[in-house]
Amino acid sequence: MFPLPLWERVRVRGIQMIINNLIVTYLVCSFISLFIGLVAAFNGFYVWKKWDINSQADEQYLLEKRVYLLITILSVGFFLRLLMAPLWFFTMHSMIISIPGAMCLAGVHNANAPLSYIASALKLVLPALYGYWLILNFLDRQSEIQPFMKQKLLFIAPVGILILLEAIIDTSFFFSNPPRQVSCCTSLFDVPRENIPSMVSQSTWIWVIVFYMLILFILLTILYLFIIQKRSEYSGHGWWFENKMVMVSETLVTTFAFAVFILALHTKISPLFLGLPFHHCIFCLCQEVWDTLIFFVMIFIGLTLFIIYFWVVCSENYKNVNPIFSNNMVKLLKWSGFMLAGGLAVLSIHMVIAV
Amino acid sequence: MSKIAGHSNLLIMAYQNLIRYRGKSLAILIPLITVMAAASFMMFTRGGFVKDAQIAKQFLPDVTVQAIEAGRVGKISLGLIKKIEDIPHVKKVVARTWGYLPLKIGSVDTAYTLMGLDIDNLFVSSKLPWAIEKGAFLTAEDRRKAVLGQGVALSFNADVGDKIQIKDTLGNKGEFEVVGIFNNTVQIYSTDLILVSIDDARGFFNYSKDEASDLLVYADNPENADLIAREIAGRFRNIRVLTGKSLTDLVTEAFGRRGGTFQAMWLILLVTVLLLVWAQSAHISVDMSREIGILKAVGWQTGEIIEMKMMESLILSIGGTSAGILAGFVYALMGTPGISGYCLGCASIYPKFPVPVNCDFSSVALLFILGILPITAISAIPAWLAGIVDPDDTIRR
Amino acid sequence: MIKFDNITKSYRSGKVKIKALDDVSLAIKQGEFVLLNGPSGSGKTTFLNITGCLTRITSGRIWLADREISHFPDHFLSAIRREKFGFIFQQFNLISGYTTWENVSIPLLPMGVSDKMRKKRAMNLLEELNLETRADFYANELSGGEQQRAAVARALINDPEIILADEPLSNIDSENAKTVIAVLEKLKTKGKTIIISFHDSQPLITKLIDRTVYFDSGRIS
Repeated sequence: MFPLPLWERVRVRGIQMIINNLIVTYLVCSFISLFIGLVAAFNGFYVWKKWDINSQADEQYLLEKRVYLLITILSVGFFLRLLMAPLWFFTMHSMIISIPGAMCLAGVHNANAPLSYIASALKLVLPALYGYWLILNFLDRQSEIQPFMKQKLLFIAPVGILILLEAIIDTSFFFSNPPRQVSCCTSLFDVPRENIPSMVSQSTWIWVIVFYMLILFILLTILYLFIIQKRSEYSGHGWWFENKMVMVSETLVTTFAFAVFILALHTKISPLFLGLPFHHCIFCLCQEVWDTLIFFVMIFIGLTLFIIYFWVVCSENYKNVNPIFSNNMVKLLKWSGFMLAGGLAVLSIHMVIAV
Repeated sequence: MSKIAGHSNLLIMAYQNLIRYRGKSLAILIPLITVMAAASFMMFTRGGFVKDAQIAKQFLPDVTVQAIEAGRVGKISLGLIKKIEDIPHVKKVVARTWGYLPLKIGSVDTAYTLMGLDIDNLFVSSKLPWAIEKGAFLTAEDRRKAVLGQGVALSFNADVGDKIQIKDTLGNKGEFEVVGIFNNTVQIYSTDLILVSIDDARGFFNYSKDEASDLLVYADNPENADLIAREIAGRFRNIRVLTGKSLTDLVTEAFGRRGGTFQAMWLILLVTVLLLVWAQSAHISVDMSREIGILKAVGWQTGEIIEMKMMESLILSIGGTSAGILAGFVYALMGTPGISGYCLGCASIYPKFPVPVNCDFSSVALLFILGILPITAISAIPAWLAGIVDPDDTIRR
Repeated sequence: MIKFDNITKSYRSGKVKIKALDDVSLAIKQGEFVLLNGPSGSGKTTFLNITGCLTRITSGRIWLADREISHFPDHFLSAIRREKFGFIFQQFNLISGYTTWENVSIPLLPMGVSDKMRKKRAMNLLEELNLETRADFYANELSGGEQQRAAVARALINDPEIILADEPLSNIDSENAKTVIAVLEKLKTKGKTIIISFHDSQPLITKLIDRTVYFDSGRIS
């Protein structure tokens, strides 16, 4: 067996936490985020249960004050989340040195998989959920009857549960990091394993093509919706409004598009951009090819805004209040289109150069 | 009258409020500056160690092989050189003989390293860490001659042409003529090393002709270091194999552990400051409550009051963090007076080893996140409490 | 027009529920100068605060220019307060750490009005109230009468449609009172709606009054 240096053997004797400035910073943010999430979930549920727009009882005014609390802490929570996502990956990056065998984020993830992968996924999902809530809240407050009040209050509860789950996963990740030899991207992806049939598909263009088709489909959809709304002078008429089926299918398609995006990055874009035929590591790609982060973030934001658009316009009360909102929602749709088109452009330019 | 102008007006008002309630502001600012100063000197110092270790890594061999005798590091046979050179991807194996020598500076016991190099086979001359500042490097024919690091030369008060007397713990003595002094690109080397020919080192430490302290293995490609290390460990018994990465990690970790103690202490301090901020912000005096009531009565919205209060926290946290970082940086540059011994740990055995400092963008960005984010977030609830003050109640009082 | 339909307002003081207003119905036309009269604690201030959206009713309905605002959320009421109402308080309610002109222009701050423009508008009003020489004095350096004149200027900075004044002459001398009344007269000629409360008779303003509403124990008598 390969003898480990003395300092690493000492660490094997008992599980211990790796601590550095980034981990401390991240944990502080995580606990604040948890506190915010729990306070928000509790208050959201409380107000949801008692809210009655027609009531003039003193309690209704107190509930209104609680809604201000929700808006304040969730706005702070959103910005906290925007910072926590990159901070999480920086923190994991800082642990490479302390985990034997780790050479990039794949190794750090492997030190405590699958917890680490769930935690990383939540880092992307939670800001999107917060964003959805804030957009809904913004629209809600444009109208004196606050049509989305119940919906937005109820939505906080599952977000709170996710934050709690995330905090537990994050904390257990840092506190139970096993200081053992881990496999990293090199051993995971680099060594050709002829007996694994998936290796054949791993170098294919197929997922890149599917990804391009899906994004073009989404862009065309955005264009179509935009033209229809422009023709009706943004009066807010649309067959897709308050249509739950549209919402569900659109969410599925968009989520599928993101999954295909990850597959495309893994199978073809990583080896192509890194110039290493067998290196499929997305973490190495993001670390070493700086424009990856740009198109990744743009495409992610574009898809998220696209989902949010439908989640709002397919809401139950949308048709009653849409003249006020439609303009803002068209803006949202435009941003989604800009982000997707921009991300796709950056990716395509790099791909043309690489090929 | 844009929305942005409205926000900037609120920002100005928030600043004016902080000046008006300066006692309260200072009660938050002073502890915050202290905590951020502690965090930043720690981060800059750790950064210095990491950077030093990373530079040192460039000059390390890809793999170092040592012999183990009775569980301790012992002398290694030169017969292994040929066998290791037969391993695929190995480009060259070079022997090295070295040992520690005690040195008393004033009343402090320190140590430095006498290293004997196989000058004929010194393989990676282009990667030598000892860029000669004065004099010349050793030649294969040089005997009883030495090249010193700048730090060591300072300790011995020696210059090129001078003779230095050394002795080890067993009483072996030797005299060497200084032929060159190398600069301090890497502090670990310049404060520690005396380089002599391998024959001189063998004579001094009583090694026979076919023995050395360790073997330095150079690979055809540094990427193959792990592969070679595994192969050596698999082929030979009673040896210890160290890769360049593990040695660098060792240096970094050595400080990391002491840093960890600081981190834990610092975390407690941060929580204390957060509680203090909470207590200070959550307390709304009668005057402040009346002011908020007036503002709301003349048309300010609850959201605008909350925003202004959040801005107050933001200004305080940005100001406190900036001042703290500056104070921490100055303290680190001054050599962390009072705690430098603890910071240096093993490195304190080197004569005159200054605490390295490294201040880069990512450290400063991190410190700003650390200072601003928790304070701003913790102020959200006090800001809300201020925002929901009932104007009717307060202006009637 | 402002219309109040069977409004009540109850406060809770410990375990006791106090009815500050009880089944009050009233309609005030645009441009009307209405005096609210009645003894202390009769409900005048509560009525003024409800009118100015400073506090909420317990039951009933309120219309402001044909919009029912009884159920409006707080941020809508604040916006109405900022755009439509100007408030003059008995206790002046200036903020002591700010100068006179800063106090006068404080309602404009969150609206994003520039420093220069705010000062210009504040100075115009201060001139009208003979207070321009005190513009850079801190609020606590002004006499009672000067403070009330500054408070009047603050109430007018947004050019509101409705002015609500709660015992505006109670804490000032007759000279200052005359200045304030002159301003109210001017506002009336401009067609502003003015609702003013006094616990006693005020001969100085009698000629301005279109209608007097008497309050007694929370009811209009």
